Amino acid sequence: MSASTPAVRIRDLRKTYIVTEREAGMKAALRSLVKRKTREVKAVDNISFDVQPGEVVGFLGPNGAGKTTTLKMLSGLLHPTSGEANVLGFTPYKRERGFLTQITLVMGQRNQLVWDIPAADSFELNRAIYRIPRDEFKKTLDELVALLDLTPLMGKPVRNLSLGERMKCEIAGALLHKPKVLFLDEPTIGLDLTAQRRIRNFIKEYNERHNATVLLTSHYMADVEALCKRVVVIHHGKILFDGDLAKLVQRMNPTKTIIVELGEEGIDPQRLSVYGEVLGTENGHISLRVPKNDTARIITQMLAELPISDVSIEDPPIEDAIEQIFATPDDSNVMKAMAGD
Amino acid sequence: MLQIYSAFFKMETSIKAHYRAHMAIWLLGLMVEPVVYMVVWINVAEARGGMVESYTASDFVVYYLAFIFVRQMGAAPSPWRFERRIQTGEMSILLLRPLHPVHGDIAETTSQKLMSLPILLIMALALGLAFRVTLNPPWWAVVTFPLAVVLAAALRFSMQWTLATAAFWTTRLDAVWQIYIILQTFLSGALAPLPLLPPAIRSIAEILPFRWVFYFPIELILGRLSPQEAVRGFATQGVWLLIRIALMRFVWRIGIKRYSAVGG
Repeated sequence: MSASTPAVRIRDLRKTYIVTEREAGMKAALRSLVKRKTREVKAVDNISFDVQPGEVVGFLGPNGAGKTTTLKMLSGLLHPTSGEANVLGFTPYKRERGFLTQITLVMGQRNQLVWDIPAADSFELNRAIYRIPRDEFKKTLDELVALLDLTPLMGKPVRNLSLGERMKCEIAGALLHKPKVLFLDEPTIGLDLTAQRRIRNFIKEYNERHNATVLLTSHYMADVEALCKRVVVIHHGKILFDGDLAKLVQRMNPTKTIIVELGEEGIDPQRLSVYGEVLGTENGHISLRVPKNDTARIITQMLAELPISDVSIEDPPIEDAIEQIFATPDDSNVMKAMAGD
Repeated sequence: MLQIYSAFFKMETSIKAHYRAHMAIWLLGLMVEPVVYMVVWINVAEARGGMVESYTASDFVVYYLAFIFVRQMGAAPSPWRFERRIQTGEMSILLLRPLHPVHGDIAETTSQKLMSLPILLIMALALGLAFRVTLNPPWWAVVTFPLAVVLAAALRFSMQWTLATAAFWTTRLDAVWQIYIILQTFLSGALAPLPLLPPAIRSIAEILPFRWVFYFPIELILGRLSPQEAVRGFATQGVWLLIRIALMRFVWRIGIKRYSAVGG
């Protein structure tokens, strides 16, 4: 595969399900015996995008947006209703050996390790299944053990590990065959902050060392912020945004934060509310939220009117922007604005 | 493939070693039903002057001891496992591996049998001594008995694995499974040796595969078959096995297509 060929290529990909539905109650139950009402659900609705080799892309959207369905189609577990999915030159649903040995799918809520035995024994089974030569296996395992700090965990039965410890072992098990493409579905779900950070750092390190392609879903903004320059936002099966994370933030939250230090004491911070929304005061620094397009004008005005000794401008926190995506109901103005251009 | 099986064996042995006591109790439990049948038939034989058809009281003891052995050596995964795999998402994990899931199941069931073999032999020996049985099969029957048991196990495994794949279509496996168990109980020689059943049931048993799972290996080790009957029996086991493997592959292929169409 040449460097310019995308590692993941999706064109007009669709997945629809037929679901049966009925109202509650005896009458509806009896009626459904004779005539079943069905409805077509579009889980993924004509999406297209590419992921280049070595790229880490955040795949974002609220619950039920179609993220997991897409990842399952890309890893060969689901047959698309129509459209094309191509991963490393393979058609995923054919589940050829050459494909399966080059990808991995980590699902934060599913376990591949055997519960009753130490992770080391499950790893040994993976070595055999993926036919990894012993030397190579040892080298990879040593690397994973060092990166994820697994030494104290290797000999314990998996059922005796904490959630975070188990997840680290799960990730190691999923990477023993050194996959070139990683589909990570909520890999840090339910973990404490330290464990989240550890896994996040590891994914970054793995991507840099092996030039692996990563498509990641996460509800934790810190994951997305630390790992993904580019994000694809999906909602109700459709792609609403595909581009730089910074650009998404601007579009979702087109404001800037101005932080000023006043040269004189005793000025009431609320006096500044005429310039913008006062977010707070910390160590003599006052933060103001202002519309992005008015930033230059407001700063000029403030410099002319106030005894300012220091000023800086910051982008709003990414968390605010992305949380808005997850929290926003369907068809809201924000969603329309995102899809806008 | 040998390496994969060896890794599976090691893993399964390590898991089963955790549950040694559980396995011994489970094996004891499995003996209850055939021992009850055995005692009933011994009493019937004694009430009829020592024999029912061509079976003596001692033959019934050997018959059911052999049944316990053949049944345990042919134990196969139940369909509930498939249902659980689909519900918990374990099926997706298995499908992500570059290996057909059947291999893991074959390895697991085989390791379970190998581990239960010593316990089973001790139990059979103890029961045999308690009932003072005599067994005089011809040498060729003793030599070919393991093959008959292996073929019977393969037959049962392929049938149950095929049935289990019904979980791809329905969440109500109970009915399908009950029908299978009833047919097997009546037509395999589990309830009684086939010659003791009514002619109508016997003729159905002739055309269905169940008798080759239990009755044939038992009759072989009891020394009740002629060499010609034994050869015909092996050939029939082989043909049924080919049919079942073909069926298993076919059902798996369409099942997996359905699974990937409706979601996992």
